Amino acid sequence: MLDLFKHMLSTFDRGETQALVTTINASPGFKDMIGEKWVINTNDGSIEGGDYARSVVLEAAWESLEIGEPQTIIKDLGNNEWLELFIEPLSPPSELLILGGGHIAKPLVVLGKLAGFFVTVVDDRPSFANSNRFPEADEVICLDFESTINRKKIGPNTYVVIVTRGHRYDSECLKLCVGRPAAYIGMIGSKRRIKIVLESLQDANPEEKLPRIYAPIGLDIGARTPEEIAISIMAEVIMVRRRGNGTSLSILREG
Amino acid sequence: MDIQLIRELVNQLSSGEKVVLATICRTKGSTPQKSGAAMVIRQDGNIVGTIGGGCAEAEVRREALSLMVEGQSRIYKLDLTNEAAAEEGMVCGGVMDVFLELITMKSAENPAYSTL
Repeated sequence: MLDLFKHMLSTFDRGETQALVTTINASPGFKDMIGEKWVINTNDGSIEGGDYARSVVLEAAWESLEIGEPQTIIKDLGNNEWLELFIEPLSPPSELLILGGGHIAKPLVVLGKLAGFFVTVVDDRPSFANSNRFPEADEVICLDFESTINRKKIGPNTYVVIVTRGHRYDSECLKLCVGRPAAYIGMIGSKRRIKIVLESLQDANPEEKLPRIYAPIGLDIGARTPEEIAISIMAEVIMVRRRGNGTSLSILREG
Repeated sequence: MDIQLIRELVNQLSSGEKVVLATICRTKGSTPQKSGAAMVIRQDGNIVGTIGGGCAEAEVRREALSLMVEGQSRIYKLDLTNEAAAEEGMVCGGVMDVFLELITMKSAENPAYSTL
Protein backbone atom coordinates (compact mmCIF):
# COMPACT_ATOMS: atom_id res chain seq x y z
CA MET A 1 0.00 0.00 0.00
CA LEU A 2 2.87 2.37 0.81
CA ASP A 3 4.20 2.16 -2.75
CA LEU A 4 0.77 2.92 -4.15
CA PHE A 5 0.36 6.04 -2.02
CA LYS A 6 3.87 7.19 -2.95
CA HIS A 7 2.98 6.65 -6.59
CA MET A 8 -0.08 8.89 -6.09
CA LEU A 9 2.05 11.66 -4.60
CA SER A 10 4.44 11.62 -7.55
CA THR A 11 1.52 11.73 -10.00
CA PHE A 12 0.27 14.84 -8.20
CA ASP A 13 3.80 16.31 -8.33
CA ARG A 14 3.63 16.12 -12.11
CA GLY A 15 0.30 17.95 -11.99
CA GLU A 16 -1.59 14.98 -13.41
CA THR A 17 -5.07 13.79 -12.46
CA GLN A 18 -5.77 10.26 -11.27
CA ALA A 19 -8.57 8.03 -10.08
CA LEU A 20 -8.44 5.89 -6.97
CA VAL A 21 -10.50 2.70 -7.12
CA THR A 22 -11.23 0.71 -3.94
CA THR A 23 -13.16 -2.54 -3.53
CA ILE A 24 -15.61 -1.67 -0.76
CA ASN A 25 -17.69 -4.84 -0.89
CA ALA A 26 -17.76 -8.17 -2.70
CA SER A 27 -19.70 -11.42 -3.07
CA PRO A 28 -18.76 -14.20 -0.60
CA GLY A 29 -16.28 -15.80 -3.02
CA PHE A 30 -14.37 -12.56 -3.39
CA LYS A 31 -14.41 -11.25 0.20
CA ASP A 32 -10.62 -11.16 0.27
CA MET A 33 -10.69 -8.49 -2.42
CA ILE A 34 -12.30 -5.97 -0.04
CA GLY A 35 -9.83 -3.14 0.50
CA GLU A 36 -7.93 -3.87 -2.72
CA LYS A 37 -6.90 -0.62 -4.42
CA TRP A 38 -5.91 0.53 -7.89
CA VAL A 39 -4.80 3.92 -9.15
CA ILE A 40 -5.45 4.96 -12.73
CA ASN A 41 -3.51 7.82 -14.28
CA THR A 42 -6.24 9.57 -16.25
CA ASN A 43 -3.73 11.28 -18.54
CA ASP A 44 -2.18 8.14 -19.99
CA GLY A 45 -4.59 5.42 -18.79
CA SER A 46 -1.90 3.47 -16.93
CA ILE A 47 -2.93 1.48 -13.87
CA GLU A 48 -1.03 0.68 -10.67
CA GLY A 49 -1.93 -1.30 -7.58
CA GLY A 50 -3.81 -4.61 -7.37
CA ASP A 51 -2.58 -7.19 -9.86
CA TYR A 52 -6.01 -8.73 -10.23
CA ALA A 53 -9.14 -7.63 -12.02
CA ARG A 54 -7.28 -4.80 -13.75
CA SER A 55 -9.32 -4.94 -16.92
CA VAL A 56 -12.59 -5.02 -14.95
CA VAL A 57 -11.43 -2.01 -12.91
CA LEU A 58 -10.29 -0.01 -15.92
CA GLU A 59 -13.59 -0.60 -17.68
CA ALA A 60 -15.58 0.47 -14.62
CA ALA A 61 -13.37 3.49 -14.03
CA TRP A 62 -13.69 4.91 -17.55
CA GLU A 63 -17.46 4.49 -17.43
CA SER A 64 -17.73 6.49 -14.25
CA LEU A 65 -14.93 9.02 -14.73
CA GLU A 66 -17.00 10.71 -17.42
CA ILE A 67 -19.32 11.81 -14.64
CA GLY A 68 -16.43 13.36 -12.70
CA GLU A 69 -17.82 12.77 -9.21
CA PRO A 70 -16.92 10.01 -6.74
CA GLN A 71 -19.28 7.07 -7.05
CA THR A 72 -19.84 3.41 -6.36
CA ILE A 73 -20.39 0.85 -9.06
CA ILE A 74 -21.16 -2.87 -8.91
CA LYS A 75 -19.20 -4.99 -11.35
CA ASP A 76 -20.75 -8.34 -12.26
CA LEU A 77 -18.10 -11.04 -12.54
CA GLY A 78 -20.51 -13.81 -13.60
CA ASN A 79 -21.46 -16.93 -11.60
CA ASN A 80 -23.23 -14.71 -9.06
CA GLU A 81 -19.94 -13.13 -8.09
CA TRP A 82 -19.48 -9.34 -7.97
CA LEU A 83 -17.29 -6.53 -6.73
CA GLU A 84 -18.49 -3.18 -5.50
CA LEU A 85 -16.00 -0.50 -6.45
CA PHE A 86 -15.67 3.04 -5.12
CA ILE A 87 -14.14 5.28 -7.76
CA GLU A 88 -12.84 8.75 -6.92
CA PRO A 89 -11.35 11.16 -9.42
CA LEU A 90 -8.50 13.07 -7.73
CA SER A 91 -6.99 16.34 -8.92
CA PRO A 92 -3.64 17.77 -7.87
CA PRO A 93 -3.92 20.71 -5.44
CA SER A 94 -5.18 23.85 -7.12
CA GLU A 95 -2.93 26.88 -7.29
CA LEU A 96 -4.02 30.44 -6.69
CA LEU A 97 -1.68 32.70 -8.65
CA ILE A 98 -2.03 36.28 -7.43
CA LEU A 99 -0.45 38.86 -9.72
CA GLY A 100 0.13 41.99 -7.67
CA GLY A 101 1.00 42.19 -3.98
CA GLY A 102 -1.13 45.17 -2.94
CA HIS A 103 -4.00 45.69 -0.48
CA ILE A 104 -6.26 42.99 -1.93
CA ALA A 105 -3.50 40.38 -2.16
CA LYS A 106 -2.94 40.42 1.59
CA PRO A 107 -6.35 39.08 2.68
CA LEU A 108 -6.61 37.03 -0.53
CA VAL A 109 -3.53 34.99 0.38
CA VAL A 110 -5.08 34.12 3.74
CA LEU A 111 -8.41 33.15 2.16
CA GLY A 112 -6.65 31.09 -0.52
CA LYS A 113 -4.80 29.11 2.13
CA LEU A 114 -8.02 28.58 4.10
CA ALA A 115 -9.67 27.20 0.97
CA GLY A 116 -6.82 24.73 0.46
CA PHE A 117 -4.96 26.36 -2.44
CA PHE A 118 -1.23 26.44 -3.05
CA VAL A 119 -0.84 30.22 -3.02
CA THR A 120 1.71 32.19 -5.03
CA VAL A 121 2.06 35.99 -4.97
CA VAL A 122 3.95 37.90 -7.64
CA ASP A 123 5.06 41.53 -7.63
CA ASP A 124 8.05 43.30 -9.15
CA ARG A 125 8.55 45.59 -6.13
CA PRO A 126 10.69 44.09 -3.36
CA SER A 127 8.80 46.04 -0.70
CA PHE A 128 5.61 44.25 -1.75
CA ALA A 129 6.92 40.84 -2.79
CA ASN A 130 8.47 39.45 0.35
CA SER A 131 7.56 36.71 2.78
CA ASN A 132 7.34 39.14 5.70
CA ARG A 133 4.40 40.78 4.00
CA PHE A 134 2.87 37.40 3.06
CA PRO A 135 3.82 34.90 5.78
CA GLU A 136 0.96 32.56 4.76
CA ALA A 137 1.88 32.37 1.06
CA ASP A 138 3.51 29.18 -0.21
CA GLU A 139 5.60 31.15 -2.65
CA VAL A 140 6.39 34.85 -3.05
CA ILE A 141 8.04 35.78 -6.36
CA CYS A 142 9.76 39.13 -6.78
CA LEU A 143 10.17 39.48 -10.52
CA ASP A 144 8.57 41.32 -13.42
CA PHE A 145 5.17 39.91 -14.40
CA GLU A 146 6.14 38.94 -17.93
CA SER A 147 9.08 36.72 -16.97
CA THR A 148 7.10 35.16 -14.14
CA ILE A 149 4.04 34.32 -16.24
CA ASN A 150 6.17 32.93 -19.06
CA ARG A 151 8.13 30.72 -16.68
CA LYS A 152 5.23 29.63 -14.55
CA LYS A 153 3.36 26.40 -15.13
CA ILE A 154 -0.24 27.46 -15.75
CA GLY A 155 -2.65 24.56 -16.23
CA PRO A 156 -6.18 23.34 -15.60
CA ASN A 157 -5.61 23.61 -11.83
CA THR A 158 -4.32 27.19 -11.88
CA TYR A 159 -6.56 30.07 -10.83
CA VAL A 160 -5.12 33.41 -11.89
CA VAL A 161 -6.13 36.61 -10.10
CA ILE A 162 -4.87 39.83 -11.67
CA VAL A 163 -4.76 42.64 -9.09
CA THR A 164 -1.64 44.67 -9.89
CA ARG A 165 -1.07 48.29 -8.97
CA GLY A 166 -2.22 49.71 -12.31
CA HIS A 167 -4.37 49.06 -15.36
CA ARG A 168 -1.36 48.99 -17.62
CA TYR A 169 0.14 46.08 -15.68
CA ASP A 170 -3.24 44.40 -15.37
CA SER A 171 -3.79 44.33 -19.11
CA GLU A 172 -0.19 43.26 -19.70
CA CYS A 173 -0.72 40.30 -17.37
CA LEU A 174 -4.03 39.46 -18.98
CA LYS A 175 -2.47 39.37 -22.47
CA LEU A 176 0.19 36.96 -21.23
CA CYS A 177 -2.35 34.71 -19.52
CA VAL A 178 -5.15 34.38 -22.09
CA GLY A 179 -3.35 31.82 -24.23
CA ARG A 180 -2.69 29.57 -21.23
CA PRO A 181 -5.03 26.75 -20.17
CA ALA A 182 -5.91 28.20 -16.75
CA ALA A 183 -9.05 27.10 -14.86
CA TYR A 184 -9.85 30.71 -14.08
CA ILE A 185 -8.56 34.13 -15.11
CA GLY A 186 -9.96 37.10 -13.23
CA MET A 187 -8.99 40.75 -13.51
CA ILE A 188 -9.86 43.72 -11.38
CA GLY A 189 -11.04 47.01 -12.87
CA SER A 190 -13.97 49.21 -13.76
CA LYS A 191 -16.47 48.06 -16.40
CA ARG A 192 -15.39 50.80 -18.78
CA ARG A 193 -11.69 50.07 -18.48
CA ILE A 194 -12.25 46.34 -18.86
CA LYS A 195 -14.28 46.84 -22.02
CA ILE A 196 -11.35 48.72 -23.58
CA VAL A 197 -8.83 46.05 -22.51
CA LEU A 198 -10.93 43.15 -23.79
CA GLU A 199 -11.61 44.88 -27.11
CA SER A 200 -7.95 45.56 -27.72
CA LEU A 201 -7.19 41.97 -26.83
CA GLN A 202 -9.75 40.68 -29.34
CA ASP A 203 -8.44 43.10 -32.00
CA ALA A 204 -4.93 41.78 -31.49
CA ASN A 205 -6.14 38.19 -32.00
CA PRO A 206 -9.12 38.51 -34.35
CA GLU A 207 -9.01 34.83 -35.31
CA GLU A 208 -9.00 33.45 -31.78
CA LYS A 209 -11.92 32.93 -29.51
CA LEU A 210 -10.93 34.36 -26.15
CA PRO A 211 -11.47 32.19 -23.08
CA ARG A 212 -13.89 33.47 -20.50
CA ILE A 213 -12.29 36.30 -18.56
CA TYR A 214 -13.79 37.02 -15.15
CA ALA A 215 -13.63 40.81 -15.26
CA PRO A 216 -14.63 42.80 -13.35
CA ILE A 217 -13.48 40.15 -10.91
CA GLY A 218 -15.57 38.73 -8.07
CA LEU A 219 -19.15 37.97 -7.09
CA ASP A 220 -21.58 40.80 -6.47
CA ILE A 221 -21.77 40.89 -2.67
CA GLY A 222 -21.47 44.68 -2.43
CA ALA A 223 -17.80 44.45 -1.37
CA ARG A 224 -16.04 47.75 -0.57
CA THR A 225 -12.98 47.20 1.61
CA PRO A 226 -9.93 45.26 0.38
CA GLU A 227 -10.94 42.42 2.73
CA GLU A 228 -14.48 42.31 1.37
CA ILE A 229 -13.22 42.44 -2.21
CA ALA A 230 -10.87 39.54 -1.46
CA ILE A 231 -13.85 37.53 -0.16
CA SER A 232 -15.83 38.40 -3.29
CA ILE A 233 -12.91 37.20 -5.47
CA MET A 234 -12.41 34.02 -3.48
CA ALA A 235 -16.13 33.29 -3.61
CA GLU A 236 -15.96 33.45 -7.40
CA VAL A 237 -12.86 31.26 -7.53
CA ILE A 238 -14.57 28.63 -5.35
CA MET A 239 -17.69 28.88 -7.48
CA VAL A 240 -15.69 28.07 -10.61
CA ARG A 241 -13.71 25.32 -8.91
CA ARG A 242 -16.81 23.61 -7.46
CA ARG A 243 -19.10 24.44 -10.38
CA GLY A 244 -21.50 26.49 -8.29
CA ASN A 245 -23.62 29.30 -9.68
CA GLY A 246 -23.15 32.07 -7.11
CA THR A 247 -26.84 32.34 -6.24
CA SER A 248 -27.98 32.76 -2.66
CA LEU A 249 -29.06 29.30 -1.49
CA SER A 250 -32.27 30.76 -0.03
CA ILE A 251 -33.31 31.87 -3.53
CA LEU A 252 -32.68 28.37 -4.87
CA ARG A 253 -34.92 27.02 -2.09
CA GLU A 254 -37.82 29.20 -3.25
CA GLY A 255 -37.23 28.56 -6.93
CA MET B 1 -9.20 11.95 -0.18
CA ASP B 2 -6.75 14.76 -0.82
CA ILE B 3 -3.00 15.16 -1.03
CA GLN B 4 -2.63 15.96 2.70
CA LEU B 5 -4.30 12.69 3.59
CA ILE B 6 -2.13 10.70 1.19
CA ARG B 7 0.95 12.33 2.77
CA GLU B 8 -0.36 11.30 6.19
CA LEU B 9 -0.80 7.71 4.99
CA VAL B 10 2.75 7.66 3.58
CA ASN B 11 4.16 9.08 6.83
CA GLN B 12 2.29 6.65 9.06
CA LEU B 13 3.10 3.58 6.95
CA SER B 14 6.75 4.64 6.61
CA SER B 15 7.10 4.75 10.38
CA GLY B 16 5.57 1.28 10.65
CA GLU B 17 2.20 2.39 12.02
CA LYS B 18 -1.15 0.99 10.95
CA VAL B 19 -4.12 3.31 10.47
CA VAL B 20 -7.76 3.16 9.47
CA LEU B 21 -8.86 5.14 6.44
CA ALA B 22 -12.53 6.17 6.63
CA THR B 23 -14.06 7.34 3.34
CA ILE B 24 -17.64 8.42 2.71
CA CYS B 25 -18.61 6.28 -0.27
CA ARG B 26 -22.35 6.93 -0.45
CA THR B 27 -24.75 9.50 0.96
CA LYS B 28 -28.52 9.86 0.97
CA GLY B 29 -30.36 12.95 2.11
CA SER B 30 -28.64 15.85 3.80
CA THR B 31 -25.20 14.96 5.18
CA PRO B 32 -22.39 17.17 6.50
CA GLN B 33 -19.94 16.05 3.80
CA LYS B 34 -20.31 14.44 0.42
CA SER B 35 -18.99 11.24 -1.07
CA GLY B 36 -15.18 11.22 -1.25
CA ALA B 37 -14.57 13.04 2.04
CA ALA B 38 -12.12 11.01 4.10
CA MET B 39 -10.18 10.91 7.34
CA VAL B 40 -7.40 8.87 8.83
CA ILE B 41 -7.66 7.45 12.35
CA ARG B 42 -4.29 6.74 13.93
CA GLN B 43 -3.64 3.97 16.42
CA ASP B 44 -3.60 6.48 19.28
CA GLY B 45 -7.07 7.66 18.24
CA ASN B 46 -5.93 10.95 16.73
CA ILE B 47 -7.70 12.04 13.57
CA VAL B 48 -6.41 13.71 10.39
CA GLY B 49 -8.93 15.04 7.87
CA THR B 50 -12.68 15.16 8.42
CA ILE B 51 -15.87 13.43 7.35
CA GLY B 52 -18.10 16.04 8.88
CA GLY B 53 -17.11 16.49 12.48
CA GLY B 54 -19.02 16.08 15.70
CA CYS B 55 -20.84 12.97 16.76
CA ALA B 56 -20.68 11.24 13.37
CA GLU B 57 -16.91 11.45 13.48
CA ALA B 58 -16.76 10.23 17.07
CA GLU B 59 -18.86 7.21 16.12
CA VAL B 60 -16.65 6.41 13.15
CA ARG B 61 -13.53 6.84 15.27
CA ARG B 62 -14.88 4.33 17.78
CA GLU B 63 -15.62 1.83 15.00
CA ALA B 64 -12.19 2.43 13.49
CA LEU B 65 -10.41 1.64 16.74
CA SER B 66 -12.24 -1.66 17.05
CA LEU B 67 -11.46 -2.40 13.40
CA MET B 68 -7.77 -2.13 14.22
CA VAL B 69 -8.23 -5.14 16.47
CA GLU B 70 -10.61 -7.18 14.27
CA GLY B 71 -8.92 -6.36 10.98
CA GLN B 72 -11.80 -6.84 8.54
CA SER B 73 -12.37 -3.74 6.37
CA ARG B 74 -16.09 -3.01 5.93
CA ILE B 75 -18.79 -0.49 5.15
CA TYR B 76 -20.19 1.22 8.22
CA LYS B 77 -23.66 2.73 7.92
CA LEU B 78 -24.09 6.02 9.70
CA ASP B 79 -27.67 7.06 10.26
CA LEU B 80 -28.18 10.75 11.02
CA THR B 81 -31.96 10.46 10.88
CA ASN B 82 -32.78 8.46 13.99
CA GLU B 83 -33.80 9.78 17.38
CA ALA B 84 -30.46 9.20 19.01
CA ALA B 85 -28.79 11.26 16.31
CA ALA B 86 -31.28 14.07 16.75
CA GLU B 87 -30.67 14.08 20.50
CA GLU B 88 -26.96 14.36 19.88
CA GLY B 89 -27.62 17.30 17.61
CA MET B 90 -26.74 15.51 14.36
CA VAL B 91 -29.49 17.35 12.61
CA CYS B 92 -28.51 16.87 8.99
CA GLY B 93 -31.02 14.06 8.65
CA GLY B 94 -29.24 11.94 6.04
CA VAL B 95 -27.65 8.53 5.85
CA MET B 96 -24.08 7.86 4.84
CA ASP B 97 -22.01 4.79 4.13
CA VAL B 98 -18.44 5.03 5.34
CA PHE B 99 -15.88 2.53 4.10
CA LEU B 100 -13.53 1.70 6.96
CA GLU B 101 -10.32 0.05 5.91
CA LEU B 102 -7.30 -1.07 7.77
CA ILE B 103 -4.18 0.21 6.05
CA THR B 104 -0.96 -1.59 6.88
CA MET B 105 2.34 -2.33 5.15
CA LYS B 106 1.03 -5.78 4.21
CA SER B 107 -1.17 -6.05 1.16
CA ALA B 108 -3.99 -8.56 0.93
CA GLU B 109 -2.88 -10.33 -2.23
CA ASN B 110 -4.37 -13.61 -3.22
CA PRO B 111 -3.17 -15.46 -6.33
CA ALA B 112 -6.60 -17.11 -6.71
CA TYR B 113 -7.84 -13.94 -8.42
CA SER B 114 -5.10 -13.72 -11.01
CA THR B 115 -7.42 -15.15 -13.64
CA LEU B 116 -9.73 -12.12 -13.54
